[in-house]
Amino acid sequence: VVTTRRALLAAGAGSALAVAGCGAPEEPPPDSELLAPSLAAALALAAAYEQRGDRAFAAREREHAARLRAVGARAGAPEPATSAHGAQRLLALERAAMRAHLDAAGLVRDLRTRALAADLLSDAAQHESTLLARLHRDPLPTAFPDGREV
Amino acid sequence: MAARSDRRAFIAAAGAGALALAVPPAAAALDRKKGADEPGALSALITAELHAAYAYERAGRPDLARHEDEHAKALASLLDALGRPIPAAPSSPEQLGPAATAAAGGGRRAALELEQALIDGCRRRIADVGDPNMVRTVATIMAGHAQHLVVLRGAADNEE
Repeated sequence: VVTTRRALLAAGAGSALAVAGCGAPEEPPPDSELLAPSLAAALALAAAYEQRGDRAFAAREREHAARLRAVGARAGAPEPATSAHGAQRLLALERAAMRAHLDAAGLVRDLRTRALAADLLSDAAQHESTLLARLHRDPLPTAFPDGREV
Repeated sequence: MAARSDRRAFIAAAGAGALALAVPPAAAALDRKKGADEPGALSALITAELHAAYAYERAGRPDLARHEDEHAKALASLLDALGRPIPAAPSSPEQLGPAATAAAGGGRRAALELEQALIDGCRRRIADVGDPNMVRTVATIMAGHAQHLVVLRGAADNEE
């Protein structure tokens, strides 16, 4: 156990060194700013699902956007960039949304907003699984869905 | 028995493969606040994941058992970094809680209820951690359980 802990601490120190060059910790932007990419992703998804005729998912994304606006998410952040088309575009947008929600969850100050970001991540992860299944791909590609390609 | 030993070794080795989430540098360096009860939250979540892994192993769902093991491993690496002991994996079905006991029987409905209980646990405990990397780890684990729900619901629908 001691050896394991030492190994762990060494691994932790390695991680710490990896960020040591970043200087003093910076105070993150306001919650409204942290949530802006999440709102942009939700709006892009709502439009993309609507265009594909998937009204249920489009409505779900509009609901996400409404919940984000209700906690003060800033509008006007750039839409996630993707050159994909069709279902692949939806998948890319869902993953961009997942990354945005995950980034926000770690930094927002308000605990209810943190819970919202985690909920939106879970919802986007479910959409990802649904889309993967439609594409005849493994709907559970990782134990840690975080929006990155696996 | 071999599988249980493997899990213990797996958990004991936690940290070597610590979760590599995409954390922005500023966030990783940030240590502005600590959660209300990080060790308590992590211990509770690890126990729940270990019980779920045990249940799925008995239920013949190695795919889901493997995910729960990976969740427990990631959480254990965080708890060990705090210098706290890692909860032991269950060694008999009698040690499981009601939801895991039901899921160990193999029914999909019971598995759905177990996954929902795991999601609820993450949702409750995410308020008790403060470190951004811990928050994100709990959030991705919660999202993993949400994906399990999708797959299990699909399977349950196909059964009806």
